[in-house]
This record gives sequence, C-alpha cells and structure tokens, in this order.
Amino acid sequence: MAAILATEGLTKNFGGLRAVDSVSLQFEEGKLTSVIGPNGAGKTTFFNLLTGLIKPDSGKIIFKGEDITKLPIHGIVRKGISRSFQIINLFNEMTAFENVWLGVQAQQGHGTEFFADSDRFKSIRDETFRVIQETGLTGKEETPVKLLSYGDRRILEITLSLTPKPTLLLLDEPTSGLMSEDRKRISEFMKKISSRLTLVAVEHDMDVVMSISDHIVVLSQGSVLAQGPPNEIRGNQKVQEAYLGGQYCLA
Amino acid sequence: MEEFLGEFSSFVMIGLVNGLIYAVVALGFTLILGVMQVINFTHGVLFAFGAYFAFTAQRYFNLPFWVGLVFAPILVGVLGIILERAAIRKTYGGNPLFGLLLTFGMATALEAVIRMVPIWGKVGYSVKAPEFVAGSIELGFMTYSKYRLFLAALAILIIFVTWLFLEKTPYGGIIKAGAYDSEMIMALGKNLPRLRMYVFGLGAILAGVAGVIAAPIYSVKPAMGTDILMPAFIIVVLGGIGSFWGSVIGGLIVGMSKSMIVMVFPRAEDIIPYVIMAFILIFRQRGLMGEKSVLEA
Amino acid sequence: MVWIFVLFFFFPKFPFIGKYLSLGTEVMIWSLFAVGFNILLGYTGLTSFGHGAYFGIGAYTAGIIFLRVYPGFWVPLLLSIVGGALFAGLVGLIVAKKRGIYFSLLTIAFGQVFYFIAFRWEELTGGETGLSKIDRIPIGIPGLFQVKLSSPTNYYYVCWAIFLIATIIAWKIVHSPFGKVIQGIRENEVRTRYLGYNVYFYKWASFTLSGAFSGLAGGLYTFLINSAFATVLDWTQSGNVVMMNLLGGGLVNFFGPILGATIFISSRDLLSAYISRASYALHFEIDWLFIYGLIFVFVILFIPTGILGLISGKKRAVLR
Repeated sequence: MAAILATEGLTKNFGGLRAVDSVSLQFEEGKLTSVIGPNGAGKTTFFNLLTGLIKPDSGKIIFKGEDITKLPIHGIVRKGISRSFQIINLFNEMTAFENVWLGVQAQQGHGTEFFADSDRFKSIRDETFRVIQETGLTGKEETPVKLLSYGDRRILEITLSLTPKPTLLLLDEPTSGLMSEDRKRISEFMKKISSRLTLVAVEHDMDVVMSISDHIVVLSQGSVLAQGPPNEIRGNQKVQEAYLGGQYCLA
Repeated sequence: MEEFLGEFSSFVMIGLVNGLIYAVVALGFTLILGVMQVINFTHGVLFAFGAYFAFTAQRYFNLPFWVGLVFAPILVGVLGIILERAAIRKTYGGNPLFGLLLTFGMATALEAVIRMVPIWGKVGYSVKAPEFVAGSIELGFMTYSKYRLFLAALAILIIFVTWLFLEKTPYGGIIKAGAYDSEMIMALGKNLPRLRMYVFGLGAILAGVAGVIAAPIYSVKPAMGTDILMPAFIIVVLGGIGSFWGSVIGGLIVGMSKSMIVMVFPRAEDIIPYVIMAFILIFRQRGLMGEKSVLEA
Repeated sequence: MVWIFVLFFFFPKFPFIGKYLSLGTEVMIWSLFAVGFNILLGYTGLTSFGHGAYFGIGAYTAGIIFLRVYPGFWVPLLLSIVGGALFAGLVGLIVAKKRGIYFSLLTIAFGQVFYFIAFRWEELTGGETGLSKIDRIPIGIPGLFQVKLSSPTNYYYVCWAIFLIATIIAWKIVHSPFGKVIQGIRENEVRTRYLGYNVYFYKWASFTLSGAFSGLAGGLYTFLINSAFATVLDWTQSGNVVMMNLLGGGLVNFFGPILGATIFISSRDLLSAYISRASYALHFEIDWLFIYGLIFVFVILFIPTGILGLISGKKRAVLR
C-alpha cells in the first residue's frame, strides 16, 4: 500500500493563469490510476511537472521517498519514471526499429561509445527485436515512422516510453484519436503491463477509464476535485457537474 | 582636474550617443529575431544604406538634412520588405540554418553593391550635420558637439515612438507578444505573413534611421554595416531576445563600455562587449531581460 | 567510399590540374574541416556559425608552438588539435544549453571574440601581420627514413594520409552509439531526453569533437601557407564551411562536405578570374563578393539539400 509517487503542494502558474494549484496527491505502487477532468484542467501540465519538462513554482515531488523536484528530465527517467505523449512524439524520419533501438540503447547504458560500431551491439539488437515483437509491430519495423498508420504510431509511442524499463509509467491520453478497435487494443495492452509496473494515465474515454482503473483522480481547474475507486467517482455529484459543461457522460 | 572631468565627460557622452544608436539598431534586430526567429545579417547593410541614402540626398540633390531623415528610412524599409518578400520569408519555420545563410549571402552581396555603385564606391564620405546644430556648445566644464546632443535627442525620440507603437497600439501589442512567443500570433488569428512583412519593414526602418542619424558622426563607408552588426548581436544576447528594454539598456551598456575602456585599455575596445555579454550570460542565462523561449534547451 | 580517396591519391598525376598541388592540399584540408564540422551540423543538427574560430585557434597554436616552443611538425600539429578541442570545449559548455537561433547567435559571438583576440593580442599572434616563417621541417624516423615536407608533393601526401585517417574517425563516430544519439537529438530533442540521455553532454561532446577536427585542419593550413593570419577566424570563414557542407549535400550524405569543399575551393580561383575578365569586358568592376553573396542566396533558395541531395532526389534533409 505504499505511495510510489507523491506530490506536495505542487503549483505552476503561466502568467496570470494558475495551471496547477497546490496539488497534493499520492499514487499507490502497482495500481493503475486514471487522471480525468475537463479540458484545461491541468492534466498535461501536471505530467510535464512530474517528469521535469517544466519546473514548479512551488511544491515537491517525491518518488520512492526521494525528492526529485529539481532533477532534469533524463535524471528522472533514470530514476524510473517514463511517460508517453498526448501528441505523438517519435523520431519521424527514422524507422520503428531505429526508434526502439535508441530507447533500448539508453536503457542498457550505452551512448557514449564514440568509436564502436553500433551494429555490433547484439544485446541492443536482440532486445529491440523482442520489444518490436511484443508490441505487434513485427514486419513494420523497417518502415519510416511517418509512414506508419496512426494506430501503429500510437502503439509505438507507448512502446518507446517503455524502453527505459520504468517502474512508473505516465500515459498522456494513450487512446487519443483512435477508433474503438484500436482503443481496445491499447487498453488491453495497458492492463497487461499494469501487472508489472505502476501506471498513471490521463484519459478521456470513460469506458476505458472505468474498466481498467484501480483508482481515479479528478482534476478540475488545476486542483483535485475528487478521487477514489471507479464506483465512487461514477456517482460523485461534483464530478458530474464539472463534466456537465463538457461533452462527457459518466454513465 | 577640470581637464580630466572634461575628458571623462566627453567619453561618457560619446558612449551614450553610440549606445543610443546601437539601441535603435538592436531594437529593429531583436524584433525580427523574436517574431520570425531569423538572424538578420542584412540588418547591418540596411543601416549602411540609410546612411548612404542620406548622403546622396545631401551631396547630390542638395536637399536639407531633414529630407534625408524622413525619406532614407522609408527607402530602407522598402528595400527590407523587398528582401523579405523575395526570399527571406521562404526560410521561416525551417531549419534556422537557411535563414542565417540566406541573410548572410544577401548582406555580402548588398555590401558589394554599395562598393559598385558609381557615386558611392569604396571610399569613405562624410555627411554634414544640419546647420542649426553644427558646431559645439559649452556645458559647464565641457565643450560638446551640438550635433551629438541633437542625435541623442533624436534617438531617444525614435525609441520613445517605437515604445508607444509597441505598447499603446493593438498592432504593436501583437508584435510585442510575438517577439516573445511567435506561436501566440498564430493563436490570435492574425494574418501572419503580412504581420511578418511589417515587422521586417519596421526593423529595416529602424536600421535605416539609425544609419541616417549616425552618418554625420561616423564615416560613411561600405564596411559600416558590418561594424554595427556585431554590437547588435551582442546587445540582443545580453539584453534578451525579443526584449524592448533589453535592447535599449543593452545598447547603452555596449556603447558605454566601449568608450570607457578606451580610457584605460584601448586595445580591448572590440572585446569588452563580449566579455560583458559572457559575464551576464553566466548569471542570467537569457540575458538581462530575456524570457524563457522555445529557443532554449 | 574508397574511390574518393583513390581520386585524391592520384590527383597530382592528373594532366593540367595535377600541378596545382597547393590547391589540392587546400581542398583536402577544408574537406577535413567540413567533414568534422558536419558531425555538429548535419548529424546533431546544430548550426554553429563560429567554427572558423577553432580552425584559427588550431592554425595559431601550430604557428606559435612552432615558432616559440618546439620547431617540429607533429608536436605543433597535435597541439593544434588540442587547441581547437579545448576552446570549442569551453565555448561548448555555454552554448550546448541552447538550441536553434540562440545557439547560432552565441556561436557567432564567441567566434568573434577569438577573432578580436587574435587581431589585437599582437605579442602572441602578431596582430594584423600575423605569424610567418612557419616552415615544414622534415619528418620521419631518425636512422630509418626522412621525408622532406618542404616539397609540395610530399606535403600533399602527408595531408592525404591525415585526411584519410580523420575521415575514418569521423565515420566511426557517426556510426557509433554516440552517433545514433546525436541524430536522435537532431530529430527530436525532447524525446531523446525522455529516453534517458543527457542531451547537454551529447551536444557539448559533438561541439568539442568538431572543434578538434577544425583545429587539426587549421594546423595543417598553417603549415601549408607557412603562416597564420587572423582572417581565418572571422565569420566569413565560418560561413564558408557552413556553405561547403550545405552545397555538397552534407545534410543528406556523409561525403557531401567533401564534395562541397572541393567545389568551393576550386571554383574560388576560377570564379575570380572570370569576374575580372567580365569586369574588363564590361568596363565595370564587378565586385567578387557580389557574385559570392548571390551564389549563397541561389544555393539556399534552389539547392537546399545540396548537390548530393539534388542527385538523390531528396527533398528533406535527412542524414543517415
């Protein structure tokens, strides 16, 4: 029941806008937590803060008991937190294989070898093929990413964020823009990987959220509106109101 | 003692006047840099054209100074817009490499054009100050050139008018916002290509007018553009990219530091602005008044 | 591609052009400079417009060491590599934190600092007149053999060998794990960070390595012309190497810089000869820089992916 990740009073302002307002949350190890909320609630900003892309104005981020607030992105990743992006963020001109390769290479501790022939690194090669296979992209790995289908690129986006072998994975709208078939594919994938790491996902698709989450956090206007198991959130009055203005129905 | 004070204050005045000229040039440069993310190498040669047009008006058409002052910047602005529309705009948004090389090539070619124009050529010329500010004036312990005072006043006026435009007009407000964050302009839904063209034109006008007012105290020669370009780069870095006050204060810092160092260690005149720039960068990474932008790691 | 080096090897034997040994040597020196520079420009995607400074530092280091410390060949040359790398390393510490035009702006500024130092620190660099009488002494293993470098042919071949070795090193660098990371940085810097790479370090390393190549080229150049001048440090030279890389297609091909340097250096003399003749014929002096600037504009607007890019039909600058 330990909190693998905790934030204390995390705050971020952009000019006059308070994007994240003194958020204190705890994320339990091994669970799948969904972060939901209307657009503009601060969810992506929250992820950006957690992973070091932007620095908070005040507050702390504690990961496995360690204060990681001031760490750079790569430092946080090395500690075991990884994330996927809402807008697909891959190496578009490279092939799927090369994308995964870069991630695997980093995880295995390489990158500073100036003179070694990178093709000789069997362990990277093997692991890259294994990852490609596990995520069902075999046969497409030599294709430049920009030519892959949207669904494949979404899968690759998550795959790439798994290459650092994180203990905590943040997924920012992993099913965004997908058709229902691909959505199921992704949510099954999420369920599969949630057994071996802690997942925190920002999601809009309520079916996905309700079916796979152990815990739900509702953000609205930068602060925590409510949190709890799916049944509780489903019946929560405040949450329904927050969404009434938007296009989501918590049926 | 009086002599020293006199000399000292004349160095201070020179530094201030140069600083103000630099500030006007840097202002134009920083707007273009901030809004379009282009390092405009032609800025220097546009400054030179301002001076040359003023010179031509005075020497060949026998027109009074104020005519050059009004029309030369307009001509330079037009020239700038021509360059922008013909080629520079094609490099926006892409690899900054292209904008850099393009403006660099244009600047080289344009400076060569100055050398080739029969009535201009490679020699240096002097431009005469207008009659009513010719000569010097005595202010307490020092004698000072009336024109330099006039120049300082003009520069301050130009800076003020630019400030008014950026702060008080809606269009200026958009440009000001865009200098920090070019994406903001797109969000505001304005006609982006037209806006960029005007910004370039504005930048060019500022370079041109600086050239006109500087002409009587600088030697009007082809290399004057290159000479003013480096200080503009330094000012923009140490003042902060896209920052109005950064350019003004930066300009004064560079102008003053150059003239002050001449008093103690003349050989370092070229280098002192860089030293100051490096110093400022160590303590304030984005320059004195810079803001975090997409241009950082 | 082996045939490039074969071509260069047999160049002195070519009819008519083979006697321009000094030009040929200069082409190889600039090719070396350009290939090393491409590690930063084409592979890491960072446009430095101030690398002429590290070329110049290498040039002066070789000259100063030769004249004041040790009148040899290898020692000054090795130190020119160190000099280029050292100062690039120092500047790199600051500029590696930036990207885009801010990065370029700073590289220009720092490049100019070194230019002015070279120009004004007369005691060290000879100021405007520069350094001279930097001779090429014989090299070899005492007792075994001796090669008189004062002969242009011999110097040409020594430079050829160094050019070959340096190019191989550059090739290895860009095909190593390090090379993959810097390309990742070029393609998507944020993602590269999120994979766990310390991007600052990689940018710095890329900057410094390219500085080492620049320094080496500078040292070789000093020995070629037996002197060192401040003009090699100014931003026109920095612009030249960027243009060479672009023109040849360095943004799409490892060998692009070599092609670019070859065309650039060889046509420089040809071009100025034509311009003088045209000026004479037209009774109007055409300024060489006018044509030079126009060529820049032309290349950017019409051949942005360079000649090799044009040939292979590449629209976007994508290096492998």
